Amino acid sequence: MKLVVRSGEREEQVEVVRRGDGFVVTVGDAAHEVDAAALGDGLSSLRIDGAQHAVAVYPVPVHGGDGHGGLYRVSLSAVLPPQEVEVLDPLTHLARKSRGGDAAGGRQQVRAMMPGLVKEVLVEEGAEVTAGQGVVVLEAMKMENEIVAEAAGVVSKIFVATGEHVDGGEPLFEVE
Amino acid sequence: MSELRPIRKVLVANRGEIAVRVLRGLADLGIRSAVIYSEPDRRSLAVQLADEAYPIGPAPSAQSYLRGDAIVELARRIGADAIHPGYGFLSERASFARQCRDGGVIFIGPPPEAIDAMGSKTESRRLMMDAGVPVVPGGAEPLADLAAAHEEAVRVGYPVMIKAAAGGGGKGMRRVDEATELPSAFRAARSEAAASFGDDAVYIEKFIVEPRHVEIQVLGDEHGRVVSLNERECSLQRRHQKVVEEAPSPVVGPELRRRMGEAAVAAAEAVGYTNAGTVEFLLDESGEFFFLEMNTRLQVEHPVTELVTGIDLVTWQLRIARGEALPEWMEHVEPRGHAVEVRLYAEDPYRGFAPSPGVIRHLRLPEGPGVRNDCGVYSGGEVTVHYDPMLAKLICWGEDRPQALTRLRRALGELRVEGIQTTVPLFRALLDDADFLAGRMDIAMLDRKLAAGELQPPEGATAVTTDNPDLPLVAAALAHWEEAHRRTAGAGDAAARLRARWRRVGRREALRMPR
Repeated sequence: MKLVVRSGEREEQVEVVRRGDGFVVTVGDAAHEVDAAALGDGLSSLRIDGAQHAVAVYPVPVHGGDGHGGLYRVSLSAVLPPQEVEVLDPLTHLARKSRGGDAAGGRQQVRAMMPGLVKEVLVEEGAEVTAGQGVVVLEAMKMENEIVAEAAGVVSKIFVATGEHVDGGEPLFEVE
Repeated sequence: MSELRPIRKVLVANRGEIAVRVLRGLADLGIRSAVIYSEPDRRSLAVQLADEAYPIGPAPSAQSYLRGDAIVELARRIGADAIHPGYGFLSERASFARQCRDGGVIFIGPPPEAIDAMGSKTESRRLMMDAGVPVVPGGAEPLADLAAAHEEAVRVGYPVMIKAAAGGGGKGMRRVDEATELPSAFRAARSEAAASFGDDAVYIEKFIVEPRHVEIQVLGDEHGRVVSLNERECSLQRRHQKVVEEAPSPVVGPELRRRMGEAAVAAAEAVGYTNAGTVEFLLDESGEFFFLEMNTRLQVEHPVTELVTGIDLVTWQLRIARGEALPEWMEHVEPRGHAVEVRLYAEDPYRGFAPSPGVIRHLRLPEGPGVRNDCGVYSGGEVTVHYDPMLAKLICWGEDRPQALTRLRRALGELRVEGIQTTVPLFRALLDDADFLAGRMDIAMLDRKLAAGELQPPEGATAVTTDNPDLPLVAAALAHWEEAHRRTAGAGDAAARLRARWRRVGRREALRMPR
């Protein structure tokens, strides 16, 4: 899973890959071997390269949307104030809920989660779609993935055509 | 030995951590406990620990914990022999102590007359002077003219404070360090007082430079014995609210301890005091101390005294109320080791101490050598805005002050409170502050440091984990991964499939990975 993670001034490409019972989490260029054990109440014991940390992570509700827009409150200790960390996930199409930005109009811009090939465009611009309806089929990671509209609306813009190669993060379509 | 008054059931007229503290004392003495609770406190820890619990009203204190007559009535109805008022609420209301007495219920505390006497600023000051207890030199009598001001200032001793007789809030106040400054300060103070309060009357008091707040714990039995259990240092205050206390005071030696103890006992005897109380003093740099006021109840910070004396103040309150005599050895108690208490408030110290109510998602209290928790909340419990936001006290004891502070550092690191903000980061920052570590403090120091932007939390994750600034990003990324996988886990369910944000439509033969 490829993510973009922001905390304060810092923004990093973060990749999370399952390995055995644990993970390899790569932050920028640094790869970390991680093992996570849930402790309950939102806490986990994380072993990162051998060092142990008990960390609490809670989703931060963002008003006006479903879920929390990828915003988390991370608490490492009682002696530090918690940090807000934002996770942008193209794969699950979490649009960034900017304060008073494009989310206000309910416009979803859907991007490719990884480089791939546009196998098929399932609808035309202007078509009405329901929540969960497929709009574009992207072939990536040796699999075909149907990229869907998160919520019902009208496909206002399709940026790609069948046979096109796209990069990770490139916009595929917009639904309003 | 005289017959003891039987106390078999006590009603605790309080809530939160002090109710829990009193309940523990009752359990230790084999006395049956009852507690009152307001609606939001139905699930509180105090209710969970009590033998009996009774509703007293809705959230607002005025309709619940402050309903003295209802509380006395309840005590009679349930057959409670005594009421313990805790601190705050009705604990210093002489009228409530009288209601108890009139209702035939023992009030665990001093006589109402003592509460009254110490509740009046002018009366207590007069009583103290008569008893030979030092008070802040000066007087509330307005000064007729500049000549009278000069005389008073010399009598009191520079530096002095000129204060308005008709009001406060800093208006009509002037500090004067020497005689040459007096005429202009006197004129300025009078005109400011006239402008602010319509009355130019001013008086003079000694200005105590950067005093410490040092208080003496006293205990009095009903047989005439009053003892001093020595001092607590309580100078670290935010807007006059104590946040850190310790015993003994880093600057009080045996001689000063003896003199302050004698003064405190004299103060208590002057009002016929019985049970637990605290005499508060201001201590100046030269070692002179002045009576501030007396708190006629058990105080929040009593644990630091308990830890350096080994004396259980709550059980002694009950034993005194039963009519027991204090043992002779209590006249000669010396502190052993050092104890420091920090008050955990549900406030965000980096957002102007804004209240931080909410559900405590997770609470892990520190334990181990020299660690004591007086906590009124629990994991999953809710902190509401209706009452004082103090959740718990963490007290650490060591053989000396450095060891107590080392243990406090360890304990703060072990503590976890999730779901609400607390004052814990402020305490951690204090443990890195040179003045605090050296035992240097005065009653304005904490406010001064906070106003100057000092006492910030240690920088980011590196303070906790010395080598991994990636930690918060990794944690958030993993939490996100878990959530996304949880959402797509129900692959067999058609509705879940629809909710999934992507679907695999199929593997093409040509894409199969080689075996």
